[in-house]
Amino acid sequence: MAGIGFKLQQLFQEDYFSSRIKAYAFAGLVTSGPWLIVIVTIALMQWLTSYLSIATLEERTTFNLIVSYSFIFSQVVLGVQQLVVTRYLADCFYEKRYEDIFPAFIGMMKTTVAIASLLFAIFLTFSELPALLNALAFVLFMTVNLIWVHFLFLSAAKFYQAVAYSFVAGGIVSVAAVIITDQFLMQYLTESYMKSFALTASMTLGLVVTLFGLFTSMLLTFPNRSTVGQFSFYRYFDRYPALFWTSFLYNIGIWVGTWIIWFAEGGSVHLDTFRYHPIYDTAIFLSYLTIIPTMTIFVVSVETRFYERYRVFYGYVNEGGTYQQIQRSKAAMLLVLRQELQRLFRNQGLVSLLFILFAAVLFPLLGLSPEIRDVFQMTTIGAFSNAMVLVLTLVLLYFEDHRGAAYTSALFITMNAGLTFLLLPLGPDSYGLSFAIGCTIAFAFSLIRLIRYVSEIDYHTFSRNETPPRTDTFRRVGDWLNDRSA
Amino acid sequence: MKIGIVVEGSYPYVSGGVSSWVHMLMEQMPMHEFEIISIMPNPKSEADYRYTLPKNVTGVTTLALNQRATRKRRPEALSEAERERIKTWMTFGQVDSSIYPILENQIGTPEQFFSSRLFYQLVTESYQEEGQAGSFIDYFWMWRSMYAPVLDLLQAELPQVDLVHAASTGYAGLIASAMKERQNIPFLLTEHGIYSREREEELLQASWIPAEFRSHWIQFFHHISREAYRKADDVITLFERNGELQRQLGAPVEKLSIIPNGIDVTGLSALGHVPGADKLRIGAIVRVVPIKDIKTMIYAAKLLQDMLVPFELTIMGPLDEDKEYAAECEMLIRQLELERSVLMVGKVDIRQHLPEFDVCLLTSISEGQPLAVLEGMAAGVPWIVTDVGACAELVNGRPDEPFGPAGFVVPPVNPRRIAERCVWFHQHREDARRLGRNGQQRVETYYRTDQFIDAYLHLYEERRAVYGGHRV
Repeated sequence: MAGIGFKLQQLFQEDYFSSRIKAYAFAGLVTSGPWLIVIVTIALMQWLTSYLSIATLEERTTFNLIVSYSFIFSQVVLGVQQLVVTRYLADCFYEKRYEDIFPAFIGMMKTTVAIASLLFAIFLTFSELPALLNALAFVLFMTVNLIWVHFLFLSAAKFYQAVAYSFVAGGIVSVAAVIITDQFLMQYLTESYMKSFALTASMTLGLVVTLFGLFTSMLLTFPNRSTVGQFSFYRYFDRYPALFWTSFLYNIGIWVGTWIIWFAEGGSVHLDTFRYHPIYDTAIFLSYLTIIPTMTIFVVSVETRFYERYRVFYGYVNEGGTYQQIQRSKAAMLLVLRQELQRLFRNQGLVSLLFILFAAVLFPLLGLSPEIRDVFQMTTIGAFSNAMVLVLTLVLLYFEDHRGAAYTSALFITMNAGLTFLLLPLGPDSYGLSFAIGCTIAFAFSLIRLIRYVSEIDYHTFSRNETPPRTDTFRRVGDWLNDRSA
Repeated sequence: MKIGIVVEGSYPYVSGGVSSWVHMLMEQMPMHEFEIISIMPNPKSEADYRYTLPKNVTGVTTLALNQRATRKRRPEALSEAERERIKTWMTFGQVDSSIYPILENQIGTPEQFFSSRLFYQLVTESYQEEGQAGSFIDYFWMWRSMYAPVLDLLQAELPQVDLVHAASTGYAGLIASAMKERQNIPFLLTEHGIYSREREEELLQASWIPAEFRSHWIQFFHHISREAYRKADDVITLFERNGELQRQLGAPVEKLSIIPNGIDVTGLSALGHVPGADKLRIGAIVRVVPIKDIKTMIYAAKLLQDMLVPFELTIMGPLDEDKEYAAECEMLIRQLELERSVLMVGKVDIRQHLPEFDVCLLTSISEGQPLAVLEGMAAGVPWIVTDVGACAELVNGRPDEPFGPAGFVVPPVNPRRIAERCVWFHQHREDARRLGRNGQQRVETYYRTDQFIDAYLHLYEERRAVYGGHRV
């Protein structure tokens, strides 16, 4: 008789929520890692050269600015691909498509070189540096860019040891070379710019050592080195546009206020090339140093207490737990999340507060001016909120709230850019205020978003809508590039 | 008039009782145009047609259950009352005003609806209300797979017609209900088998579905059938027993009516009878498939042989529909040493054989209104039939008609009773002919094609007039 009956479509075969539990567990490291390295390196170099060098202030400034620019803008370049590639790699590991990883590595390097070259070309249009220094800056810039690519892949492969060794080795070489150059070579370098060139070259040497170490580790980690489908990961730009926006906007958002202030009152131009703001730059670098505790605590707490509960929750969701089990494990997970976030907030709050309070005592000891101290106190509040924004963004990504993460980044960059502009008329005394307010607004937003989202995390998990990508552009570009490189 | 025929798992892709009925209905109504809306489990194309469409078919809309609706819709904000209505309906309750416009236009695409808070709330609440203690993710997906086809179908593009006629409840009834409401047209429902009962039987046998989900599915099919009964202007079936079932399943009694299938009696009634010798010649016009219970027929033959009654049983019908079963039957015939008296002749022209039978036999365990019985009766052959579907009604006649019985009704799976009745036929040749004539008269009076066509033509016109004439 008529009747086609019914089908329990896909009910018992598929793993509906292929929750990439560990997908973003290393995203924290990947996101905060390069940023912290940037900050520490720049701060260390400034301190080192100011303490040791017999080179003139101007030459030291040239060196510091080349290094700072390389690090800052490489971070922006990284932001284009960072989270998208992270997701792609997570899927490769999850689906055991290990053979696709090395091609993506090559592809990301090529893309990075292309974007970085473009940026450098723009730099060349206004650079007044001598050709030799431009060439060296190019080498340094590319080296740093490629280091981030290696860093991302090795972290994804959990080859942290290699990363650590490479950075330590490169760091030692850098510092040693800078010191040696400074101590023994400077007196023989009389030609103009040669002192800055020598310092920069020493630093670059160390970074090349790091890159070499990382590259060797890559080759060791991936013995099967196919080069087929290098640009296949481009389709993830179609699939997860929110991830692109999150890392791209966030990485720009960190620096956008700084860039604006470079052009404001108190900003300088070095060698007709480099914009910078001596007071603000120093203050913000120092402030970023104060949030190192957050990053450490966060990674540790996520890897231990929170991750346990997270796994139990998604286990019950995926493996057929009852509704009651899902609700109980959700409550347990959210309790731990709240505890960990509160602890982080308390600890980092305390550290930041102490720095703000004791800045008055510490700064004279470090030989820093009261102007820097005033800005520092405000940027430290901003850095605190900025650290929280980063942490909350990562937690949003753990729960696959890509949209929430992208909104946070968008708000972060808008607030920082907008407020910095708006508050410029208040003059140099209030630099840092916009950063403090902007980051805090983004922090508040991401916190509210997270609370609202996770309180319904079971709903979001069950109702995740894997819609087909809205665009097809990047996949086609990727295919075209794949064909060309085949 | 343009008539929309809604069928499920049937015309024009699958041959069978309902398909033949649809085909005949359309062929016999050249004055009307037909739009076919065929619901199938998988996408189909013209290459899959099993029928040559009559000329008055203006279009075929094939809706595959696993096919996503392509139309993009934005979800609209739902009022509290509308949310309540969706909830009530999806938990198998009745709602006062219509649910269809909400499901068609307001909830967005099915995918969006299944991602909504409303749906999640619905699932979690019924999980708790039912005291479920099983896998929640499976429960959740059961809900999704239950309503995904419903929403896909409701959001599909459908042709404009003057009247919609569904050949079953279920998804076909659903579509027809929605069309009635959308286009403000009459909706006729002709149920051949009782859809929700059939699904229920299927489900009870589907051991791969966890028991706690099975009752849910059964309730679901009952629910959508009940909704079709409520929405239809006429709930028609082929014989009274099914009408009674429809009433029990919630069809309003004032909508119920019976329009039996008809056959072309000319030719058949002129066939006459070729008297035989002492040997009882038994005919069986059946496909050799398990539901027809050929084995009981063979066991009855064995009993006849043991009783030393001279007979010959000719089983006429395709052997290739269930080859394994046919082979089993042949094996049984050999085992019982009936090779000389039981013949399986395959598919043949029954008109050549009917005059030579003294009695015809139907041993099915399930039937609708079998055309074979009507054809045999039209040829004046008396019957022994099992008490399933319309068989008793055909053989004994409905209470208000003047013609006597056309044979005997026996319980299903009862070889002894069949054998006893065969013995009766062997011993009462004259009485047997009288039974045959009763049957012939009944068919000529009540079961002619033109009568069934006229009944529908009349109904179409009458309903259309109520809704305000032709528009398309």
